[in-house]
Amino acid sequence: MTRIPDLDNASGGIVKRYLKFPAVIIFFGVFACGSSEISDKEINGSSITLLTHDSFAVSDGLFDIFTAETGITVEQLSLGDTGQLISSSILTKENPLGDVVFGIDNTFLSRALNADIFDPYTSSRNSKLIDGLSYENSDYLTPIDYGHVCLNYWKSAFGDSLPPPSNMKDLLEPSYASSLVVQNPETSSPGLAFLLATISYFGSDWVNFWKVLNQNGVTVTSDWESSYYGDFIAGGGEKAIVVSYASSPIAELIYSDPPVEVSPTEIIEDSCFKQIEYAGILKNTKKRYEAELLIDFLLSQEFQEDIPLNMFMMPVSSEASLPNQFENYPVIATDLNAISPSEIETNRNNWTEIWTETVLR
Amino acid sequence: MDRNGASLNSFFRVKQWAIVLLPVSFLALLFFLPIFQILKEASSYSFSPVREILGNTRFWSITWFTLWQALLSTIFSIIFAFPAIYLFAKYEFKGKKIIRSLITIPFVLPTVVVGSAFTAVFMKLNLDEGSINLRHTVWAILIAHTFFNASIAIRVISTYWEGLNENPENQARVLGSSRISTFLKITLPRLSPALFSAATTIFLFCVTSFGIILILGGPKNSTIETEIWRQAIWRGDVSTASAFAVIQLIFVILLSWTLIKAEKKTSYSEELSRGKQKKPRKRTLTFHFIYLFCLFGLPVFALLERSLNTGPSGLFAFFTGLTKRTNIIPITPIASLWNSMRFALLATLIALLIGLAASTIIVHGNKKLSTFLNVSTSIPLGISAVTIGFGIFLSFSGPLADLRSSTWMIPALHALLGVPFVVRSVVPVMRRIPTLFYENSQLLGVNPIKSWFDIDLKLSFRSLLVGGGFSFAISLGEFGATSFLPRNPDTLTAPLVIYRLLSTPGQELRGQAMALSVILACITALSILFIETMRNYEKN
Repeated sequence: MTRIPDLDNASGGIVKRYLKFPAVIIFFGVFACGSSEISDKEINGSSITLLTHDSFAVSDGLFDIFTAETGITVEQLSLGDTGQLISSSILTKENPLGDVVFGIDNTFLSRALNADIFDPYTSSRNSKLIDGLSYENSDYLTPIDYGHVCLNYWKSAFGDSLPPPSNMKDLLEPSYASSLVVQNPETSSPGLAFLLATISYFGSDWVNFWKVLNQNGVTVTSDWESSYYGDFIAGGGEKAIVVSYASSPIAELIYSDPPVEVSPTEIIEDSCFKQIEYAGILKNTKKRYEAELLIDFLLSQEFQEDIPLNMFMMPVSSEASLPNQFENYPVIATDLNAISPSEIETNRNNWTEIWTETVLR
Repeated sequence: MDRNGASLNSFFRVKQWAIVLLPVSFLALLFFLPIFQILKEASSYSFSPVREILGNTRFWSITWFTLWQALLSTIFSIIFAFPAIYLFAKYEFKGKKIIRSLITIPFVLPTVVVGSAFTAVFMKLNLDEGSINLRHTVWAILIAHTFFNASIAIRVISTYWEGLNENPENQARVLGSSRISTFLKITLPRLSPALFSAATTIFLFCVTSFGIILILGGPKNSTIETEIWRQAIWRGDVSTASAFAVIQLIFVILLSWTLIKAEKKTSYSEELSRGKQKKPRKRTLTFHFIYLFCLFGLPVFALLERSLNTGPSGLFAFFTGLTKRTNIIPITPIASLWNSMRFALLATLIALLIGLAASTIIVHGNKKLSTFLNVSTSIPLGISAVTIGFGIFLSFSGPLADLRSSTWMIPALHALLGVPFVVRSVVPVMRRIPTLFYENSQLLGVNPIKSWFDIDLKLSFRSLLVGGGFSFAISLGEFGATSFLPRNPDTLTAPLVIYRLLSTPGQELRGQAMALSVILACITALSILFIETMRNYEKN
């Protein structure tokens, strides 16, 4: 074998090594172009990308209706939870991952608006919306669905000796507080919604409310799954009251196994906080017209009627009829425990910090 | 030890550019580029985000907690793994391969599932209230980390130990040394390259542990990893998150560098003759099985119990339900398993290729390049998923922009986490190969490429399979970095579907989530078993 000089001991080896970086990037750039041809997203002018959170779901073939009407195909991309969806959309503002975003809720709405990532659009179908969905600057985002975060309780855990709590003030009783499990509002979206409900309900007294809950042994988990399936009776735990959604008793009924006639859980209406989910057109989209058509479609009767059983939220269109499982969805006053998106945005970090000091430290 | 002078070394030093290009370009795109963007973010306004958090006492307590829980978790994982390491290294018994595959199961179980399984176990053993309350304590974190990571220690160290002959130990015993002092003074030092190698991986893994800290640690315990996530996602404060990311990067580089250096320092080459493996006595075997069950069995058992339907729909109703699509999820759970397996296969192939190229350079390449690759192939494990995910968002623009939502990114990112496993299993074994082998093959005029195949590849093949097995498992269970990338509903993986099933109330959905976890666990065990049988290649 011929001996080959050891080139690496020559000075500048390291420098040369780093000079190869641009070559590497070009190499992968070519690779990138290649792969985009395969998925052919950008080339076909009649396709549009809808960014959503992970809980987005529709019936099979629902978007085919849109494609049949407009000739536009819909590509769906999901991006984690609402917080992640918004943070990612803000981060990729200059170079968006899609054209339309669905799933911005009222607790994070102002952050998205402040970051200036959306173009204004008012759909012609807005006139058919139910009342109580408007907010500041409502020409930027279009409401698509709504729901409530409410206290849920396990019905059979209560009886004549201990009736279920009927309002938020009842929770101040030690026996209720010790059987309550909530989520950390700094890491969980229903946790944040419930904190906001208590702030709206008790006004400046909200810190005291949490102080008492804490003294009486409220349980806090980081996420909804741990509280519902860990501590709450539904998952084999011992706690009888949990922060969940107004639609949870309906889901308990639909997905019961063995099947049951009535839901094992019930909500405490007084504790509910309304969550409205919006869709908007991203500012740097190159498909403004297609995006408008898609927003219109999200408000169409077909899409609106598809929402309840797939996402466990309520339609915003007054024309949409409800599946029978949702006919008993509680009627909750529009202004119950309401706080405006801009007020939430201004105070969110401050409120959650006070909450952390009160309950966790 | 210094391996200069071996003919293979000089060959690889000349050709190393071609080989190096593979791991370096891979890391450049998926790791250096995103990290560089995050660094840029943190360096804005002359590092004011970094300076701000450095002055914060809460930051220091978080950093301190992150490091000590990771170090303690590493030590626990290795110590509690030792009886099992001994069993697999020293004994030959029926069903060894099956048990060796079964212990990898914890590795792929989604944290949200394991978290609730542990909560159930604590509840059953009455450890969740009263005098001993493990719930939401650091003990819960340490126990879960040991459960997840002991299998790394078992597989990496026992595979290495199997390849050690017993001559030094026998000589010591003949000279009158006791069994314990023989173990401590002779065996343990001989095992240390593998010990340090496993420790590096486990430590990095525990630094970026997310679900366990959040779910089992409860709302009061936070680490740098959970803090980066909270700041970036919940507070929308990317610059503070980046500052935390920079601190995480610094600590991860420093500590993995120290561990990797220790691994290199303790490495030595020796004749590779397989150690003798005895048949164990029944009592020994029973003891070990009970021990393994205590270490790994309880949460898995709780999971199995929950996947079965005790109602009128039939015991396996949750399993058969997996073939149907429920409204809330865009694909059937079975289809998600298929996605996971395809991604895992692809990720494993990429990880093996990149890992093998990197290991070859680490062992044979020049010193600086070797250290550079050694550290940089491992640290992606210790870097926050948010950092890599958001780094990719920030840095992939122009022609790279479409790559962000490309399906290829999923196996590529999984491979980024698989490479450290391949490198950390292969490197200590390749280093042990005596220089004499290469010199002989040079004398015989064997082509360097052929001698690499015959010596390096063949002799490290077992450890390569161990690394490959872990890459496969890690890809099947991964729920970190890829969850920060946009995904098409058709390409949902099984862990994501399990998570979605658990995010809506209803016993049917919960049962299906458990059933899907059980299937995921079985697939993992079967795949590892399949990989184990390929080990026989080495004997030919």
